[in-house]
Formats: sequence, C-alpha cells, structure tokens
Amino acid sequence: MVEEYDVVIVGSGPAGLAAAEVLGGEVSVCVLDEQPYAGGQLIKQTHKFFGSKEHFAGWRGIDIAEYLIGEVKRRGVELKQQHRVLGYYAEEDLVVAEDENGKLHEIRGKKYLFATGAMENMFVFENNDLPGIFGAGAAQTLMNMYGVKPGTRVVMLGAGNIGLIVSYQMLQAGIDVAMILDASPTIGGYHVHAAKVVRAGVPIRTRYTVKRAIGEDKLEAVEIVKLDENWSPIDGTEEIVEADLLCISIGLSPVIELFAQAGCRIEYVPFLGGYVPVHNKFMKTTNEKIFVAGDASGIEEASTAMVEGKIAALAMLGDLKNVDIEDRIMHEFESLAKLRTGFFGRRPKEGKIQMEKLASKYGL
Amino acid sequence: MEFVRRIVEHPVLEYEKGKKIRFFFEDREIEAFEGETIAAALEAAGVRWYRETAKYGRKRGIFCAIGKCSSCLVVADNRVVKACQTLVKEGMIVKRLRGKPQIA
Amino acid sequence: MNTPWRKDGILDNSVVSKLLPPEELRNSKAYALLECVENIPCDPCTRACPFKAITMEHITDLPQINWDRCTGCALCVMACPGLAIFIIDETTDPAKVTVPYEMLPLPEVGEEVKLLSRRGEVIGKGKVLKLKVSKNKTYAVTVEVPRERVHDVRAIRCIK
Ligand SMILES: Cc1cc2nc3c(=O)[nH]c(=O)nc-3n(C[C@H](O)[C@H](O)[C@H](O)COP(=O)(O)OP(=O)(O)OC[C@H]3O[C@@H](n4cnc5c(N)ncnc54)[C@H](O)[C@@H]3O)c2cc1C
Ligand code: SF4
Ligand code: SF4
Ligand code: FES
Repeated sequence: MVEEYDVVIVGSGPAGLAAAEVLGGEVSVCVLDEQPYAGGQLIKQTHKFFGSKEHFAGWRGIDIAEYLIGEVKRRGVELKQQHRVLGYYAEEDLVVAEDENGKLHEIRGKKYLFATGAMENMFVFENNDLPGIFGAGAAQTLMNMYGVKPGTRVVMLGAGNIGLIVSYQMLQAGIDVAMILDASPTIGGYHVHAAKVVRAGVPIRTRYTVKRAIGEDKLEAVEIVKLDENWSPIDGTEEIVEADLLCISIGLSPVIELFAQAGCRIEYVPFLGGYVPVHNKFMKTTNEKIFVAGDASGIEEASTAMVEGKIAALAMLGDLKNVDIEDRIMHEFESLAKLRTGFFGRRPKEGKIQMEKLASKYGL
Repeated sequence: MEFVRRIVEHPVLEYEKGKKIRFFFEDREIEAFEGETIAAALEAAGVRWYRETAKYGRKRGIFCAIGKCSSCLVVADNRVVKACQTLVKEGMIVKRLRGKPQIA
Repeated sequence: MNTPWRKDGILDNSVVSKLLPPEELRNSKAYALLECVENIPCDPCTRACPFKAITMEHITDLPQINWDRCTGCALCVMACPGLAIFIIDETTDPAKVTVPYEMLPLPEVGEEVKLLSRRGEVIGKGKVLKLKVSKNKTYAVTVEVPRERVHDVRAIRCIK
C-alpha cells in the first residue's frame, strides 16, 4: 500500500522541520528520518546559537529542536522516526523507506524535500580506523544525547567552529581536552569560541597535525607533528600525546546519495563543501518534484538551514496551491542575504553565487 | 566496570533516562537504559571495538554515530545492524560482526 | 583585517586596550567590556541590555557600547553566546571582574576560586562575591581580583 501526502520531507533537522512548520496545516506533510529521535544535528547542540532573534539567537540547539517539533506536530505533520529512505523511484514516483524492523514502506508525495544534512570528513593517517577515533559529531551525540563520555582524555583535530564547540562541551562534561590541533596557520572558527576553550586551559596548536594513531584494539596515544609553511611535517617535532579519544573535525560533506540516486544533477562546488545537487534560489533541483535545503545544499549553519527550509516550503506551496507567496519568500531571501555577510559568510555566499550560475546552465 | 563512562552531573543538561535494562555483548552482560542506542550503551560500558573487517581483520568502533559510515556494524539478535542507529532492547544478544555479514 | 588572535585564540594587550573605555570612565564605575572582535552574525547582546547601551546596525557589525548608559548589571554577560562579555570594576581595591561560567562545580559566594588568564594560566586566587544565573543556565560570577590583574583575569576554576 502506498501512503500519499502532498509533501514528503526526508530529514528532520532544522531545514526539514522549518519547512514542515511552514507547510503544516496548509497541505498534508510527512517527515521521514532514520534517527531514533527528531531534530537532526540540533538535538546534540547544547551551546547557545548565534544569529538574530528571528533565527533563535541565544537559544540552545536542543531547545530550538524541541520548539520546532512541537510546532510541527501541532500543525498535524506526521513525524516518522527510524525510517531510512533508501531511494526515490521516478517511474512509480515514490520513496521507499526501511523501518527499524526492516520493513519497507512506499511513500508518495506531490513534492519532495530532501534535507539530508551532512557528514564528517575523514582524514588520512596511519591507523586512522582504530576504535576511539570519532568524528566530533559522534562525540557530541554520545555525551549530549545519551550522557555518555566519549573518552577521558581527548585530542581534537580541527579548530573550526565544530572542533572548538565540541571541545568546550567536553570540558562541560568533565572530560580532559589535551589540545586542539589544526594544520592551517590560523584558527578557522570564531574567536569567541576559541577564547572559551583557551582560557579554560586547552591550548590550540595551529600548523600541527596527527601523524599516526597508536593502540592495539583501541586508541592509546596520538603522535602529532608540526607542519612547515608548505604543510610538510617537520622532522624531529613529533610528540606522543596520551589520549583515549581522537576527534576529527576537519570539515563536513553534504549527504547527497538520495539526489544522485534520484537522478538530480550534481556538481562540485568547493565553497559549498563538495558535491551538491544543482538547485536554483527557490531550492528546486533539476528534478522539478525534488527540492533541497540545509547542509545537503551546501555546508552552512542551522540558521541558514531553517531559512532555506522555509524558502523550499514556500516554493512548494506556491506550486501546489494557488497562493501568493511572493512577499513571504522575498522576506526569507533578505534574511539569507543578511546571514551571509561578513568575513565568515563569504564562502557560502560565493558558493551560492556559483550555484545560481550552474542552475541557469541547467535551465532552472 | 559498568557505567564507567556515564556523565553524572552536567552544568546545562539533564538526562532523562528510560527504564534500566540488560543486554549481552559477546559473553558479557551489560546494563543499559531503554531509549539509548546499542552504541551508546556499549560506549558507556567502555566497549570500543565492535567489529572486524572482512579483508584485513581491522578492528573497528563507531565513527560518525549518525548512520552514515557503517563502521559500527554489529549482529544484534541475528540481524546485522548499525549499532549507532539501533535502540538497545531488554535481553538483546549483540555480537561482534566478524568478516562479511551472512545473508540468511 | 589584522587578526593576530587567529593563531592561538588569545587577544593580546594591543587589541584589548582598544576595547577599553576611556580612563576617566574606568575610574568612575563598573562597565561591560566586549571582547568581541570579529564580524560574526550575532546580536543577542543588543537585545539583552535593558538600557540599550549595546547597539549594532547590521548583524555582522561589531557591537558598539555606550558606556554612559551601562550600569554593569551583567545581563549581557549571561546572554552572549560567545561568552565574550565581562564586567570590570576597577573603582575598588581589590577590583572586581564578572565572568560568564557554564561549568561544574558551581562556586558559592565567599568561596576562593582560581583566577585564570586569557591563556588559561592560573594567575592567582580570589573570593567569589556574587552569583547570578540566567534562565539558559549561564552564570555570571563576580570575583575579587588584585587591581593590577583586572585586565588579565577572564575565567575562574573551582578549587574544591
Ligand atoms: C558542533 C556543531 C555546532 C554547530 N553550531 C551551530 C550554531 O551555533 N549555529 C548554527 O546556526 N548552526 C550550527 N551548526 C550547524 C548546524 O547544526 C547544521 O548546519 C544544521 O543542523 C543543518 O541542518 P540540516 O537540516 O540541513 O541537516 P541535519 O541537522 O544534519 O539533519 C539531517 C537529517 O536527515 C536525516 N537523514 C539523512 N539521510 C536520510 C535518509 N536517507 N533517510 C532518512 N533520514 C535521513 C538525518 O538522520 C538527519 O536527522 C553546528 C553544527 C555542529 C555539528
Ligand atoms: S552590563 Fe547591563 S547595562 Fe551594561 S551593557 Fe550589559 S546589559 Fe547593558
Ligand atoms: S552577543 Fe556576544 S558574541 Fe554576539 S555580538 Fe554580542 S558580544 Fe559578540
Ligand atoms: S558509526 Fe557511522 S554508521 Fe554507525
């Protein structure tokens, strides 16, 4: 039996939920997510968010998730957890999802939004598959969602915002953070996040990297090394640092398998984090039934993910019902433009400009 | 050695724990809470090594914890599952996945 | 943008001195010091201040503070997601510094705590004078600080 909805959303992160909030009550909506709990990345984020009031600034990620989930349910949206979407089948025009018991469900929408988020990049070094080497997000999931310490003494690789924030959260959980390393000459994340951990006694070493992991069946120590101007290891600067957890936080890549499988055009846009589905400013992909929003359309933030989710939702609403969405969508465009300014907004902004060109190349 | 890695007190978070349950990993009986994943329960008990790869016999544990990398595959009640995505159940029998999964 | 702090995460004196109010004001009252030097998309400090002392036109502008309006109430300290705001009171001897705090254990009023620099080094001990908490669980902890260290102490750690 095929279940039918006006809109089927894959991913209950900030992008998917914000879209569901706009659509709920207007059309029938179902949100599918493979995780046991809704909220995407938000539910493990215990730090207060940046941005402006409209984007929940000053709220903690977990509270934003709780609020959005409440709003979405109130509007009659169906949230289905532990539903992993395996693919979109164009001939039947439906997605197939597998539930926790291995049962398959066929679900059809008049429109689809794939807001599948991102995944941590891996880094190449000797023994990088040893148990005890986690993506920073995994450490965050364990400690913030389940109250489990991912380790007792940690080396963090990557001084971007995620590496810095997760390090701070580990300190809050009573975990010893030995140091934060970054291969580049400067810290990638915000100074305010760096300052928090540094004044708590965690040194940040720029131009350093991990050479190898040491341990038999689990991590016991990390060998680190200093890098020269050309990013080459400097002989004799190796140090062995005892640690039972090495966190990797060197960047995220959009999760695009569903788009690729569904036949949406994919292009490589480094400023957006790698391969991303081609989309226009209404977040429509090269398949007119399928929209994208959030990190899957380019690595950014929860604030921009929510705005993109709303834009996609409004565009779908405009297609599905004869309603005037122009003012509301213009407002969201302005909101996005504001968020993508300044030193840290320059990359996604440039990436999205390149994307608009690609979109027009594909006639979007 | 049970609960060695539980966070007892946190400045911001309060953890709502489900009912206490027991499950088995290899030959060991482990305590866990309803509502947590197999991976969370194993990590809390200090278990880091979940499987052995087919070709080189490399030991693996979790990496992404969001269901994307398959590093955490285990055999739970005779099904190959991702430990980071599967909720632990009372009496569940979890074993290391060694080599390639068998399709029944 | 000249950004020496992006190497190690530490603001040096040459940067901090530009953030301070004029000497005269520093000697006359407690004031908020905003150690926020990058154009990040963030503005809760502007909303937190009941006296409208902190303003910014555009979300990625640096916050501007009008110290004439600032009462040193510390509401902004608890609201700032960057934990970048401190209240400095150098009108007394010893002086007082109010820092944001989100760790455990929680100190009590009267308790001695370690005083830490921006670098994370322990540079002395001081008595806790006041504790305030916001509904999002960020504390503002006021500690006694030797006058000559008032521009160095930026965090605390409990001894117990
Ligand atoms: C440590 C950290 C700190 C951060 N701090 C901030 C901050 O201060 N401010 C800010 O604005 N942003 C912040 N971010 C970024 C923000 O969390 C992300 O940009 C945002 O969550 C992206 O939202 P999303 O909805 O696109 O994806 P996600 O939140 O990743 O959600 C995607 C969802 O899709 C589901 N999914 C994927 N594929 C499938 C499938 N095939 N079937 C079913 N479900 C699927 C996943 O399970 C997941 O739940 C931070 C991120 C991290 C990791
Ligand atoms: S201390 Fe109080 S008055 Fe001064 S800027 Fe902060 S909130 Fe405003
Ligand atoms: S709230 Fe804090 S981090 Fe944000 S702009 Fe204001 S001072 Fe800077
Ligand atoms: S740890 Fe990556 S899929 Fe489970």
